[in-house]
Amino acid sequence: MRIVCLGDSLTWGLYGGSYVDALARLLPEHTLLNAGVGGNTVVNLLRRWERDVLPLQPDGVFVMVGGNDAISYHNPKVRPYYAKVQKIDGGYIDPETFESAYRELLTELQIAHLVTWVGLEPVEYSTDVVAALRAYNQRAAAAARALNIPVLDLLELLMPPQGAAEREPITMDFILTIGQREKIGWNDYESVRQRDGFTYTFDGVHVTPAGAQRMAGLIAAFIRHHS
Amino acid sequence: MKRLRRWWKGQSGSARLRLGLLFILVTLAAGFSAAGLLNSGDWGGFFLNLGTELAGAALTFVLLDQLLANRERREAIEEQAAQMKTMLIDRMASAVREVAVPAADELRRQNWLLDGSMVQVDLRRANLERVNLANADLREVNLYRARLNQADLWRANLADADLGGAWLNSARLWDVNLEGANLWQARAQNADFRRANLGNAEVNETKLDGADLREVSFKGANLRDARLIGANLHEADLTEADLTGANLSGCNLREAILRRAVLDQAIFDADTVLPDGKRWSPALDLSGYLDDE
Repeated sequence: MRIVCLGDSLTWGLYGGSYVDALARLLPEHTLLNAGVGGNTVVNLLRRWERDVLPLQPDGVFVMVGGNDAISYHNPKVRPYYAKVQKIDGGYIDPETFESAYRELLTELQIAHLVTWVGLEPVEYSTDVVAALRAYNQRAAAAARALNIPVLDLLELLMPPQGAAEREPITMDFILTIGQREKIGWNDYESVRQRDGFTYTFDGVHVTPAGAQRMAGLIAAFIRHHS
Repeated sequence: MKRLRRWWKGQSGSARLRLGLLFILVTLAAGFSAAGLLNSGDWGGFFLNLGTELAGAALTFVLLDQLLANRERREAIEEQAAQMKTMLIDRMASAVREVAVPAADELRRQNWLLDGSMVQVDLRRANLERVNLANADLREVNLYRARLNQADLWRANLADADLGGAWLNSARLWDVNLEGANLWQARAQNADFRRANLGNAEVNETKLDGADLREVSFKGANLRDARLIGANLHEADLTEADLTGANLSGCNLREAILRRAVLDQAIFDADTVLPDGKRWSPALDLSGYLDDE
């Protein structure tokens, strides 16, 4: 099968580990294609899936999105980024918009006769961000289940036993740091992960190479089970 | 008869109207001509004349119909081509390389990379790694933060293009025209810019480590805080270029023109080769290289 992984920076994989690359190694019988774009929300995926997915003539699509949507809604300080760079009206995706856009995206994929799987995005930044994303993930899962699309809850599967810590809200500095690190080709993930006390991510959001490997293992088993 | 009926049903409304009119004209022409031949006298002459006039009208009708049909066909093809071009340009802007590069290849096959169709196109953040854009007319194109690592841009025209923050590592940029282009914070390590024109370009904070910049024109360019570690600037023209704070460690500036260039706080080291072949040293006075003569 030709499988397109459609999502945000976690799928893109150039800032941290790439689960798509690891998945390609774990599923050599399939062709894996990466259609991840950093900073994307479900609205961005809905806008671009026809351009970025259909020409690849895939048989299936693994969709994973929601982190940016939840962060944009719960952290007003980051909204200028989503408004300016991602062209999102008002700079945020509210839960209702998220769910309806998610449903529309999955419906479109089904109409295009594509086998679809949904991954619920993981995060471990803080208790607040985890709670916000969990609520968005529940909506994504509801949209998927209404269409009989299998769902893999990576947030719960990867959550450390001690849960997330209390932290300051995500600000524009967090997003600007991503851009600055990309520019200099920074990749010292492990020392930052240890310093800030994360487990499978290095900044609470983006996965380390080891985290990507873990994610890929879970996704590979999930895809095998549902195909 | 059945086949004729099926064929008739297969025709569009306007085609049926045209065929009906033609049928009437031909029938009338034949009828009047026959009547003219069968009647003698004034009425016979009148019918014959009418018949030949109508035959002429039928012929004119057929010719005009053909001309109109050809024009319609041409317009339909042009419209299809325009739609295809728009779709391909949209795909070329994709951040998914497997979408963007095949679209660029198809644009090349259709000659649209070279005929001015791409001028001012928005390709922000497109993933065009290893794409072939040789000779492409990309004037004023927006390639902000686009990924062009190892791309072939040989002789491309990128005048006034926006390449801010773009990735151009190991790209082939021989003879490329980047006059007035913006390369602020672009990464072009080990890129090959031989004989390129970067006159009046914004090259500030650009990473050009190890780049081949032989015979490049940087006339009037802004190279403030650019990183040129180990770059080869042999015979480069840096007339009136602003190199304030630029890192020229290990740079080869042999036979480069530094007339009226600004070198304030520029960084040199013992491996920097100066225009006359001398190695840089802290004691060396560089003002001689900057004179008009």
